[in-house]
Amino acid sequence: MNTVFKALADPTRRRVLQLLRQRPMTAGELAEHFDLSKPTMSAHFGVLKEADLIEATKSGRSVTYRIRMSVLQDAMLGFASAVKLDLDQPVSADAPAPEATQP
Amino acid sequence: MNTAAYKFTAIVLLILNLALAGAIWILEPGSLLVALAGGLVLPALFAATVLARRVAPRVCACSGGGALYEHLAVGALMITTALLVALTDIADLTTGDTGERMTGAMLGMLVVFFGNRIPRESRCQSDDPQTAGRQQRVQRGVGYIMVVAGLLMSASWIVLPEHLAPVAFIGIGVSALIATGVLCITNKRTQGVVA
Repeated sequence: MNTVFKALADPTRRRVLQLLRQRPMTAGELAEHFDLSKPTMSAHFGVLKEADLIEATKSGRSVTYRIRMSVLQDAMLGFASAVKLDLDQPVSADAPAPEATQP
Repeated sequence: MNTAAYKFTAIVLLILNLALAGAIWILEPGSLLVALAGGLVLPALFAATVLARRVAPRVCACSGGGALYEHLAVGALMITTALLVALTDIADLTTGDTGERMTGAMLGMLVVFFGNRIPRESRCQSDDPQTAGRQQRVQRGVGYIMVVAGLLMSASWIVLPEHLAPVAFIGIGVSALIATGVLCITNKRTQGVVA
């Protein structure tokens, strides 16, 4: 549960989850919505994967991310977004990252 | 919780189950059949699960893998609760309808438990992102309906009078199923319009 709180405590990761609530997206499609470097985005994806809030499927050179949130976690995301929760330190590119990114 | 935690929980509940079945039999020797059924169902399920994972590990992986132990633990909890209620009735530890209310509230919480997990399920989702997005929305909607319905079902057994509780329990359950059906049909029609 601690990893879930950590994942939801950052506005960028919450935005990623909100985008993935609409439909599964590739790493590249998600990155287009942010003005962040590839390693930073990968680090954010790593945190979300560690919390088991998203799952990644690799096909060819692209990685498609899909949301995996329970009702409780979805409600927590809504609450954290509503109060604009921002408790996390800036994510580092050293954090665990998925093996591949954009096609 | 991970697979190991669910496996541990299932084993603990298995031991508790046998102890409760034994206690029921000691307190009321005439209820041997109830004690045997209650005490043996869970070990049989546990053995079947272990066997299935050994014999057909690939099939188990396709049908949920680690989720088998999770479902086993939830089933174990249901049987343990039923045995606990039976034991408290036999031992005259409860008065009136307490056992019935406990069981009803427990069933409502099971609906909450499974409803909460519905949006996480992605094995049957389409590879097409747009279709998968629609499927996600329906799953999320159904999950919310089931969680709210489960909470209301539990609450109905806790707060309502004995004669109203079962009516409300069934009414809420049926309403939740109808709402789920409406959600699925609405989504299907929207999909048709979009296509």
